[in-house]
Amino acid sequence: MTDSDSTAARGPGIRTGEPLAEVTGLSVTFGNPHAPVPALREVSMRIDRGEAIAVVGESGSGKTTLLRSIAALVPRPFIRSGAVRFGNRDLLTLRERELATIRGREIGMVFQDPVNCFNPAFTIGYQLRRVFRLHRPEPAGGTDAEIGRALDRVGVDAAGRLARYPFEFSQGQLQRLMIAAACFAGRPTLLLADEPTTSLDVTTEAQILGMLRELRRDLGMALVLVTHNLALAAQLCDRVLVMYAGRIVEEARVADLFARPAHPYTRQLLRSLPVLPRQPGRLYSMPGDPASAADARRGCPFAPRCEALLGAVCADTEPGLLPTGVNGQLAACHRYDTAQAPTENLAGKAPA
Amino acid sequence: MSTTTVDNSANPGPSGVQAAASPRNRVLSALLHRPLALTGLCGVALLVLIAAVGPLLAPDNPDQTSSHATAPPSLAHWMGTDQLGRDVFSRMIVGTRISLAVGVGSTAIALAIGGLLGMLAGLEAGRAPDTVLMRAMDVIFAFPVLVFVPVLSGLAIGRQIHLGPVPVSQLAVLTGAISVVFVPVFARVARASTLAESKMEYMLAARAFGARRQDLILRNLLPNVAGPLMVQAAFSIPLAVITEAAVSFLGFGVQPPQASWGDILNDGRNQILLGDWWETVFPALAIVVTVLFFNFIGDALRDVLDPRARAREMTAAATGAVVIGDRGD
Amino acid sequence: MLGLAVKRLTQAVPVLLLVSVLSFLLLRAAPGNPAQLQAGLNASPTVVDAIARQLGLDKPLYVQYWIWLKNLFSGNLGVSYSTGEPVTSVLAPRVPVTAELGLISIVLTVIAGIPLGVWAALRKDGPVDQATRAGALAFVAVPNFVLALFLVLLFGWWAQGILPYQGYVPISQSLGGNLSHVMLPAICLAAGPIGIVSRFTRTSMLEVLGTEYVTAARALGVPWLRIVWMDALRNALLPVLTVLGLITGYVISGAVIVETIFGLPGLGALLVQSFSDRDYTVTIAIMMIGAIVFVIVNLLVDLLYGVADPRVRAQYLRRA
Repeated sequence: MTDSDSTAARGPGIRTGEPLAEVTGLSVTFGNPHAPVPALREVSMRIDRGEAIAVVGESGSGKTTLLRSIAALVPRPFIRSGAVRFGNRDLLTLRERELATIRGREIGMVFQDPVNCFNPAFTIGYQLRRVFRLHRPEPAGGTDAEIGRALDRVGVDAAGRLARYPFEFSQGQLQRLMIAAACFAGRPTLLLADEPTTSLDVTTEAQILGMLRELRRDLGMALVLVTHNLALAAQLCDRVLVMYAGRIVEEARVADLFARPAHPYTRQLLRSLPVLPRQPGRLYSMPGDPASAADARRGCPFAPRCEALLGAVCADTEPGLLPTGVNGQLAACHRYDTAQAPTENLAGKAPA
Repeated sequence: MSTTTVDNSANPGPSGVQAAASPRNRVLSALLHRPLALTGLCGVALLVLIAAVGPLLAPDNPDQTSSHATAPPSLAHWMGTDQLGRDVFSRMIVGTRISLAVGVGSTAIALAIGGLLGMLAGLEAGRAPDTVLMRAMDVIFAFPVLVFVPVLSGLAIGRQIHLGPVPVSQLAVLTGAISVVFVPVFARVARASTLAESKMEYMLAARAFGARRQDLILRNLLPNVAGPLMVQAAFSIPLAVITEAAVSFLGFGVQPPQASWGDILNDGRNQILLGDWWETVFPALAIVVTVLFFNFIGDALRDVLDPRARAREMTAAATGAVVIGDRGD
Repeated sequence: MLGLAVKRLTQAVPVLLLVSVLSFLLLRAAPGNPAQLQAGLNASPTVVDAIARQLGLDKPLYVQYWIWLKNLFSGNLGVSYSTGEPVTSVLAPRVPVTAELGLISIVLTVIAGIPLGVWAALRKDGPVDQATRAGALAFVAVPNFVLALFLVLLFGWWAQGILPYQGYVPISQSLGGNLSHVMLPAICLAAGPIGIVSRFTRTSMLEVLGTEYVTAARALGVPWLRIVWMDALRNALLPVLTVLGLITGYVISGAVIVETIFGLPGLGALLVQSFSDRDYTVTIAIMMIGAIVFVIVNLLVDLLYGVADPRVRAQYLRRA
């Protein structure tokens, strides 16, 4: 769905030109031919140098699969179609050996549950050294010095710690270690973060967030942050992609998303965030359960839960990502189809 | 903003409630809908039929010696005759009864005793009774099966054994000996299962409400521990059959003129080098086929009743006395 | 680390003691008067009495056990009823045979089972995977002695002369002869375990390959081969180690019947023979040895596990 229109319509402040990475028409289906489980349907996104993008959505929306696809971690047989361009190569066509030279070096990745990301049988030192030596074979002062510097940047005291095992560290420390490995072993221009703070307590979360912000600024990395937490997205990112049922349903600058959400899903999602001071009355919650990409229905995937249905067209045809006309914001909703609903355009209206 | 009535029925969602199938239904469904399991079930049923009714329908008296010694299979003797001229086919039929009886019987006893001990140990986990019980199991488990059972069983050959006033047949001693070596397996399965269940909230709740030990075991624990125990039983029966065959083959088991498959194998041992294959091939086939049938059933049961056993897989089936997963203590 | 060893040892000691108690009880449960059996049929009553006193047969059972145990620790396993020699010298020539058989079987299991399992995991649902699954089932269903009988039938009748199916040749005489005679029995003993170990390795590998840390390592750019070889194998083989400890019991047990069928002069064959000769001291001694070997092997496996898995190591360090 990315075309020159939306590029131009991105609004001021966003760089145009060659993107750092670009996903085009990506469709991923797990399972087997007898029992297919679609996860992504025709997803496209563009990542510019140095920009921070948030991908938000509920469980089952496909956001994690999207992130992993960017790092080409999804097994080839499951990729139905699409391409992930990084540099001038399509990562999905590369062999594992070639991918290993890109991952960790140019693309860094941070995972959700830091405890599970380290091999319990090896020391932290071994695991860090291994990665650092791969991507920086001859650092000044030696590998350990390099690691020490990296750990300093992430706020972990390295003294004597390298000989310890993962189980001896706290969640927060492990997450910092993982960030250190992802950001400093190589020189990544792109950092992929899959819910990096979800398993951390609130205080640690705040620290990690601050650190990520700093690192981004210092290293000039682009960031793709997957989260179900809209507030997080607001704090860290420039642009937000909202996913639902394996598709991107809205794309907007952060400020625009919160001030003027275009897609009914986003609007309802924001409505369900409790606001302080509390208004009297019941808290709003969206009806129904989140749909997954596996639901094979015609028409808009959000239609069953939508409170702003346009009419029969919502059940019949699936809307594409259409410009809302405001600051390059895109939404997959028939209301922005000028042919369909010239007067009932939600854009520019504050959420109900 | 236009309003539309919110309609939930169109999208029940993944958390929609389905009718929960009762365990019995799930088991029956698993057994009947999988071709392998169905084969196993039919096979076992056939074996039981043979064991129950066969001896009455056998063509010849299995103990009847004749002058047609070591004759290959023919129309008169479907499985040939042994060196005493006895009809192998009839002996095989009678052997089915003995082999199955010992196999199933010993497993049943081991399940009952081991299961109970295991549950008790699990409830007392970490404390003295648990340690003592598990050490005792370790001791039994340490003796190689084909050393322990022959000795135990062999000590009863030719002697009058009495359990108090009741005379005990050699066959019973054999069954008892085999069940002894299988007790540790069931105890470990029961204990592991109990430990896992104890951590579940319903057990904590029951204890908080002051449930007595017997109630805890019978009402709460048993239904949940029974599943893995049944699965283990399905895998242990064929192993008991094999053990009995091996012990009888060595001469420590069922004594002549009674014959189990192992005995027939033993009889045929010396004939092999003369090329007389029928006394070896038929009992061997019977054993192999029996094991396969029970394993098919066990596989299907395991998928339904004991998902935790996935990781233990072939180990449980093949060595029979093994349960990996929880490392005991 | 020492704390771990001590803990495991203290667990093993009562087991070993109970093993000895059980063995002793079974020995006494055997038919016949031990003193009479030891002295021989033609011995005079005075000799029998002397032996009876020596064994402590007039004393209570626990005293007898104590005497027996003391003898045990001084290397006296008793006297063979049939030959009159000390049991130790009856057993001695047999030990190398059984030991060789057991070792070769276990070695075969490891070098065939583990690589097959790894291959089956890496090429899941491929031909090797299917083959190992079928093979494992086949070898569960076909017990080692049935396989042994078939091999004897095969090499003794149908395809004579290819491999010996009977008897034994010591290494000192001929290495080739020795190996060829041990080959078939070792295959019988190893067949089942190879099936088990290969499937278990496969499961273990698949489990490890599915972990988040493997994915994280890939994301950090660690080459796949390195991941499989170092991370995956290292963690996957730990549970397999435990299985090997249990396989030992299977091999010891199987040795009895396989040695009998193939005519190997080992401890297993002696067990059967001594029992029918009513030479119970020998029988019980072999039974005890079998149990002790099993306990020791599993103890070693436990210790190795403790060394290999840092979490376990730390657990025991903290407790000790």
